[in-house]
Parts: sequence; C-alpha cells; structure tokens
Amino acid sequence: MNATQSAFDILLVDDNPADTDLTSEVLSRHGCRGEIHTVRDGVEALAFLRGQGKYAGGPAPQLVLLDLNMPRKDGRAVLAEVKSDPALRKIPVIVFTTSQSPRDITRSYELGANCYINKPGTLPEFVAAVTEFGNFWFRRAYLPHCNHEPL
Amino acid sequence: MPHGYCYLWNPALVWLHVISDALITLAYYCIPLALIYLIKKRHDLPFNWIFGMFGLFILGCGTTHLMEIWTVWHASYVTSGIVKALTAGVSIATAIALIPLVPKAIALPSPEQLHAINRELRTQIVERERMEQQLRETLRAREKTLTELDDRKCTIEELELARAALTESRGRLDAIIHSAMDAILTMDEDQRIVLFNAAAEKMFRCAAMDAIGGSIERFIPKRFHAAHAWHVRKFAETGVTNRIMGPRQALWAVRADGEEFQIEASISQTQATGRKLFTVILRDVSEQARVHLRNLRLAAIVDSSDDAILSKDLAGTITSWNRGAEQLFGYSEAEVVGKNVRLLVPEQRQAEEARLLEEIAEGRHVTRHETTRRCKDGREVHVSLSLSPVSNEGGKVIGAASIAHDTTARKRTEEQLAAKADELLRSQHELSAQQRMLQSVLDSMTEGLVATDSEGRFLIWNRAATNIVGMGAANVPPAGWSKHYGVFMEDTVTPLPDELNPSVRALRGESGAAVMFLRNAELEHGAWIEVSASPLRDKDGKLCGGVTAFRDITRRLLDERKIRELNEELEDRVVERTAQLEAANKELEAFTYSVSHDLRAPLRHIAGFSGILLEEFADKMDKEARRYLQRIQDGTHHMGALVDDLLKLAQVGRRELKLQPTHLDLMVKDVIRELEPDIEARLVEWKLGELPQVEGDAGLLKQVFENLLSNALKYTRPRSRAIIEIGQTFVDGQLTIFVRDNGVGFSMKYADRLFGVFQRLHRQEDFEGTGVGLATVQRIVQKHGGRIWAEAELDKGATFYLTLRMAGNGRQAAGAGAAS
Amino acid sequence: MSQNDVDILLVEDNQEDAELTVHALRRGNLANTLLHVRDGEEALEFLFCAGAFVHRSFEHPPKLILLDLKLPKVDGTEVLKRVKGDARTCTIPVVMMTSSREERDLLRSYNLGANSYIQKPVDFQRFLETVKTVGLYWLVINQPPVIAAQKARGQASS
Repeated sequence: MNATQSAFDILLVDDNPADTDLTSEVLSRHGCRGEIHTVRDGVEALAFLRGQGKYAGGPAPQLVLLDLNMPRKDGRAVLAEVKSDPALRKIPVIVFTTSQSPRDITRSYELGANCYINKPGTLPEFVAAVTEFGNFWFRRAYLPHCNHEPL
Repeated sequence: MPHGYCYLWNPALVWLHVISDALITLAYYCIPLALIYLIKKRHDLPFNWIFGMFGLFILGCGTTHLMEIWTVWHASYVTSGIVKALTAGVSIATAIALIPLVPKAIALPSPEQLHAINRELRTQIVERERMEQQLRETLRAREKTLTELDDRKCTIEELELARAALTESRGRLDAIIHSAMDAILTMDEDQRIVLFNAAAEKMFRCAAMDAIGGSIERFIPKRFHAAHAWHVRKFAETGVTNRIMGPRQALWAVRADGEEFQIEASISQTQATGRKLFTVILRDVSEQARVHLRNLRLAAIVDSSDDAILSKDLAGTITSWNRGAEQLFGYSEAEVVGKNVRLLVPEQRQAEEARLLEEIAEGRHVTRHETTRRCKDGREVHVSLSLSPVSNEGGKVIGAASIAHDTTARKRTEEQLAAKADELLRSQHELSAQQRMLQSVLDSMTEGLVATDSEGRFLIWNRAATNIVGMGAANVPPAGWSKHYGVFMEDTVTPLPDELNPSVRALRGESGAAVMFLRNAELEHGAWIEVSASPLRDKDGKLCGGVTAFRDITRRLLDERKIRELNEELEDRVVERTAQLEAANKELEAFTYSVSHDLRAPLRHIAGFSGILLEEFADKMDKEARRYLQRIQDGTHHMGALVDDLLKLAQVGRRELKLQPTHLDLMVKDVIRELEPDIEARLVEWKLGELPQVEGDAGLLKQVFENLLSNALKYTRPRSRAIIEIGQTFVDGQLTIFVRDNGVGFSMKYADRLFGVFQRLHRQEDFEGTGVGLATVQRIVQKHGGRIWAEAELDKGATFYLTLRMAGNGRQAAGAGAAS
Repeated sequence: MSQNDVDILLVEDNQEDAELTVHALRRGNLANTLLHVRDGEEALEFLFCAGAFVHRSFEHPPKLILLDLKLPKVDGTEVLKRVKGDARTCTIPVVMMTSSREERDLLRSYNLGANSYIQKPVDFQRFLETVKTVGLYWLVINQPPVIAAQKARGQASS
C-alpha cells in the first residue's frame, strides 16, 4: 500500500495571492489530496469556517493555514475567535507568517495556535517549509473529522 | 228794406256787423257739434239729455246771428223772426229743464272730496288685498276703478257703485276670513302679525289678541327661523304676488303650546302706501300626511305582495293589477286594466266566475276558493282566491278586491304525498317482513341488546341479553335496575349508581360506555360486562328512549389479566436482558478499545525490534536468520492490517449514523483519485456512470466504496486491461448501485461465504487481504437499511450490487438518470 | 543533561515503545535532549517544577511534549488539560502519540488544545518515519514559543 492521504478540505487565509498560489501548488505536489480553499482576510475566513453568507452549505475545513497580518480582521483576531468557539476549537490552525516577532509567536501559542511556521523569504526555503509541514500534517498527523488515518 | 239801410250802407259798419255775426254763427255752430261728439263718446255721462238741449239752444242762437247777416242785404224779416222765435223756444225749454237739475248737481262731491274718499278706500282695499285668490279678483277690479278715479276719468255714479261694491266685498271678505277653514295670517315687512283669523287661532292655539303685533317667528320652529327669514327676503325681492311655499308637506309650524305640526302654505304680497304686506294661508296637513303615508305603505304592501292582487268592478272589468298579479299571470298592468277578468278564467270555469261576482254583488266575502286560472302563456295555475266587496261612500257595492295565491306547488306536493302514502302502505308490508328478520337477527346476536322507551319500559330484550344478565326484561323503572339485576361497580361490591349506568344516562340524552359487574340470583359467580348505551331520538330530535348493547367480557378480562401478568414478566426480562446487553456492549467497547491500544503495542514491538535487528544487525546474521526475521516482519504487518480491519468492523456496529444527503458520484471520484497511486503502471479503465444522491453517513459509505473499488482493482490485477464500471440500474423496480469488474471473479457456489468475517475465496499469496473488508461493507449497507449481493463467474469478473435510501430530492434525479 | 536543557519530554509508560521512539529519534539525530518519564504524575512534576524537578525553571520549557494517552497514575488527557490550562505551560507544543485510533480521543485531544495527534504505526518502517518527521517538524520547522532565556540560548547557538 502506498502512502495516501484521504481527501479533505484545507483553508488558506492569506491576503497575498502569490503566497497562497505557491502554497497550494507545493501542498498538492506533496501528498495533499485535499481541496485547498483560499480567502483573503479574517472576516471571510470566519464566514467560511462557520458556513455563513456565500459559504453557506460549504465544506468545513480540517486544517487552517493562517497569516497574521491581513486587512479587515487580522490573523490574531481570527485565531482568538476560532479557539474560543467550541464548534471550531478542534480544527488545527497553523500560523504561517513572515513575522518572527517573539510577541507574535508567544501570543499565537497563548491563543491556541497548533503550530507556528515562519514563512521564508526565498523560494527554495518557502517550498521546503511548505513541504515539511505538508509531510507532517498530511502524512503523519491525525486530523479531526477525518476518518482515515494517514498511511 | 234791407237792414243795411239801418247801417246807412256804410261799408265799415256793414262789414263790422256781418263779420261779427259770421264769427258768432261759426262759434255757435261749433259748440253743438262738440257737444254732440261728447254725448256720442260718453254714454255714461249723467244727465246727457241736457247737453242735447244745450246744443239745440246754441244752434238756434247761431242761426239767428246768420239771419242777421242775411237781413243786411235782404229784408226777409219774417224768416228772421221765425228763427228767433224757434231759438227762444229752445232756450226757454233748456232753462226750464236745467232748473231741477241744479240741486242734483250741487249734491255731487267736489274733486277734493273725491280724492279724500279715494285715499280712505285705498287703505281699505289694501287690507282686503291679502285675501284668497277669488277675492283678489274682485279687489283687482276695484283697484282698476280706483286707478281710473285717480285719473279723474270716472263719473260720480261709478264711484258710488264702487264704494257700494267695496263695502259689500269687505263684509264678505271679513266673513270669509273668519270662517275660513284655513288659517290666514298677514304680516308686515318686519314680520309682525297684523291679521290672525279664527282658524289661525285654532291652529296655533293662540288668541288673535296675543298673536297680533307679535312676530310670526313664534309660530315657526326655531330651526327654520333663518331659512324663513331668507325666504321672506327673497320673496319680497321677486315681486311675485302669489306663491305656494316650499315643497308639498315639507313645512313645519309650531303651536303656542310648542307642538310642531306639518302645514301646507301659500304666500302673497301686496304693496300699500309704500309698505309691503305678506299674507299666508296655512293648512294643517298633519293628518293628511299620516293618511298619505299609510296609503303609501298599503300601496307598497300590495305592490310587494307575492300574491296576485287585483280589483274589478261588478261587470268584471279589471281596475287595478299589482306586481304579484303580473308575475303570476304574466300580463302587465297595461295589458289587462280595462279588460274583463274572464280573460284569466278557463272555459270550464266561466260560470263559476259569474257566481263569484254575484256573491260579491251581494256584499259577501269569498275566502280561500280553490280554483284554477289561465295565464298569458296558456298555462293553468292552481290558485286560492279571496274576494272582498268594494263599496262606495254610499255603501253600495261597486266592485271586488281579489287576492289570488298560487297553490300550484302545494297541489303538486299534495299529489306527491298521496303517491307516497301508497308507497308507504306497500312498504309497510315489507317492513313487517323486515321486522321479523330483525327479530331473528336480535335473537342470533351474541351481544345483549335492549331498548327502552323514554320511561324506561323495555321494547327490545334479545335472547343474548337474557343469557348474559341471567333474567329477562322486567317491569322495573330505571331507578330500580341496579338493584333488580344486581349491577355493581368494578370493585364488585358497590352497587352502581344510576349516574354511572350508561343505560340510565341514555334516557337523559347522554351516550356512554362502562364496564360493570353483574351478580344476582341467577348469576351466582357474577359476570363482567362491557356496556355501551345511546339515547334514541325521534325524527324531531326529541328523546324517545335508549338503546343499550353489552357483552360478557368475563373471559376476556381473565385473559387480559393473564396477558398483563405475562407482559410484566416479559418486561422484567427485557429490562434484565437490556442491562445484560448494555453490559456486553460496554465490554465489547472496552475490548475493541483495548484491541486498538493494547493489542497493537506488542505487535509494534515485535515489528520494531525485528526491524532493528534486520536493519542494524543484518550483517551479523546468516541468510536463513534474515529470512525468518523477514517472515516475522510480514506476519506482524498482516496482523496489523487484521487488527485495523477488525477495529473498523467493530466501529461500524458502535457508530451512530450521521445521515445526510450524499452525492455518490463525487464520493466515488474521490475514492478513485485516492486509489490512483495503487494503479502504478497498470492499464485501468474506469467507467463511471451516473450515480444518485443518497441519504447516508458519508464516512461509512466512503468505506464501502473504498473496499469495493480496491477489491475490483485487486482482483483485476491479472488483466492486461482492467475495466471497472460503477453505475446505477433498476433491480426489481428499485434503484440499485453496482460495481462491476472484469477480474478473476469467483464461483457462485461460495457466494454465501462472501460477506463472512475472515472468509476468503482466494489464497493469500494470490490476493492479499484480511477477509474483513466485505463483512464491513455488508455491515455498513445493512446499517443504512440497504442490501448488498454479488454476481460472479469464475474468471469472468464480478458485480456487486447494493441498494441505499435515496435522498429526498435525489430520487427523481436518479430516476431520470436511469431512464436516459 | 540539565533539567533545564530538555527539548523533548517523552511521556510513555511502555518501555518498548519508549525504546523504539528514542531509537527512531536518534536515527534523525533528534534524541540528544530527550527526557523520558513513565507516568502522568512524573510528567506533571517535571512540567510544573515539582517533586524531583523542583529546581527546574519555568523559563526553560521543552520544545515538544510527546504524550501517550494511556498512562498509569495520571492519565494523558489529564496531563494535557493541566498543561494547556496553565498560563505558564500552555504555549508548549504537545503532540499526542498513542496507539488509540478512537475518534473521540482525537477530538477530545484537539479540543483540549493538543497541538497535534499521532498514532504509533505498527509497521516498523512507518514508525521510524513518523517519529522522525514529528521530531524534525516540531524541533526544526516549527517556531517554538519564545521565552526570554530560550531565545537567548537560541541566538547563542546559531
């Protein structure tokens, strides 16, 4: 049996389209068979997670990749809301940001981020980082609402 | 000798006399001409013959002067003398005639005196002017005379006559005014009453003394004061002398005592010495109004009556015709009034009509005379006639009022009733036959059935009733039933009160049912009966009795008690068993949990350490040892898979279904995509047909397709070109999903073992597997209320069929898909 | 190894599993600063600087806790609850590493704030890869919570 990951839904929350495009590309090349959804700010992210407005009836993601600095509602606020909402708390949130500020890192963990990944500046490093967390989260870790084990 | 000689023929003297005499003659001749003209024109002049005499006298004088001229040149003194003598005679006669006239002439009033009289008369006339129309004509004639007098064109005699006439008319007028039936009032410009007649006193209940000098407004209801003032002003402006006031019966007046009443009034105005006077003639029409109203009502009644109402004279000529008559007979009023009523009488009844008219002529009434009449369209109608004689004021019968009531419908009903009566008679025979049948039915019933009249006397008491109660119908009033028949409440000892006994309640109009216990001399051990009773009512809904049905339920109660006891026991057992099951479930849960956690641990250790041995100590072992270690590795791997599959199977049993509409086509596409890495270099053709939307647990259903599709992939491995088809079809009219492959298939001999746990139809070295997958698939499908089965042929491939519940709106879509 | 220099805290009652885990981490050169404790009570003593670990400082938390669910004395769920419920320890990444594949264990863990959830595979090769990936991911790729002293140390080592 080959290593496969069941299909599931991933939400990318990032206002930078170049980053989300690259992320999607790398993830789908590295064993992520999920559908990758993209939203551009925190307000949309919460609407997507709660299936509100134009996202009514849409899928509930099993994993969220969250940038911190975004228009309208930033990543910190989204994180705080997700982790204080009993219905959403279980969804792993990966903070994926260019910020290396110790304050951001600590604050994110305090708010309940599942991990904190630095978004590297160079392309090879970026690809490597995405590949690594893809390896871990999609091939090793068990995610909630996912009935099928990795491998 | 001519007279000229006297003048000495002096031409001047002669001509003086001649010319003077000629002028006198001319003048004297003119006067009588004027007088003659006057007499001719004024025949009414008093003493006009004296004017004639004057004329003759002056003519004579004129002729004497003419003769004077003649005698100047001709001495015909004889002729002259004769003329003079004639003139003298006429003069003396005139003088004699004039003498007796002088005192008469003196007696005539002078023009000044006449003028004064005039004024006085005019005042009187003005007063008279306020009188009724006929009187006014007279007044107007006088007024004309007065006007002529004013113009000094009348003679003294005429004035005399006028005065006499005026005096007379004044008297007449006063009498008329005071004896008039109508109230007559005269007001001046300020609406102050100046005349108030006896009728007015009566009408307004107010003496003339009190009324005169006061304002008319006291006799007008307050609410009309303003309108009255406006009308008076308007009327005065028009200058019209006479007018009816207001529309008919629309005026109201008020009596001195405050009572209001309806009047009719006309008003006139006159101008006297610069003042305007208004005279009003009033008539109390209250009574008239009442009569009018009553007539209107009567007319309306007649008009709105459905019955035909007509009147005729004694000859039978129709004089009036109401709308009912129009409707009944079809003739309009215009068509029949003036025609003879025989028009409506059928030929064979003409004599009868004559008789009726005779009756009427004798003043008798005819009531409810049943006959027929002919309508305009020739149809005959049944009518009930009522005729009343109509008499004139003198009491003489002059005609009849006839009311015709259409009884055609009634007649028809009567005929129908007669027919029904016949039928009833016939059916009575049938009824008695039915009654006999009913009796046999009652007797063959196993239920007791009794019926009573409203007093509680038994009318029916069937055989079963006697059997159940143990005795027959007894002449006992309802209040005594409980005691007589031994009726008790469910405790079997308390006598049943009447208000709980349905049979007694039925007689009060209530329906009811009850279970009761009977024990009497004939029923020593007693019996349980179930009773239901209802009141009986006649066709008018009046209570006329009660009917009670009952049956012996003693045996049933015993059976029920036994069943209840058994049930209780059973329930206890169920509770016990459920508890056992729950405990077993918990145990199983604990077991699977420990399988998940604990059983895998040692397996992992064996695999782990053997793996380390193989990887890190391989060089220290010979080939044989390495091969054994590899066997250990394979064994642990297989056992790991077994444990995982068993866990899944166990989870299916425990898991609660999360039902939701699920798109199978999307799900199958997902599964195929996930299987792609397993295909590697193989040639696989997926034939994906249309798939329905089903109601199911998406997670579990996905396991079904993962198993079925990976099996299909596995068992087609020997094929150079694998064909795997997924689609829907109808099996026994039910939408069914199928997965078909062209793989190695299997013998249908073993089909029943296909879905068993650990059952495998292939050797492990040919096709790896745990033998749990299809068991899991079956569990999932069954848990969804569906069915799964397979058809296969060895080496030809296999097809798996499964049925699932369609999602609410997916059924149609699926059906359409299957049809296309 | 000082009590303050622990990068990975492995909470595992089963000696064999612990040994295999350490073996796998060592292969990835990730086992140098690992401390293995055998029950929940010991884990809590370490994390809250109590008992044998009273001299430890909160300022030097581990970069990763590998926590089994089924533990003697204090159960893994309880340990997780305590760690994530305390402001001094809530930022430490906790990866559940267990034999259980029960959905309810998974959900409860994520709801209580577990950073990730791993099932120990039976297959040895996969076990090796999984443990290696976990170690690599959490110690190298992930940015651990920054505590002043740790940050200073990180800068010194770079």
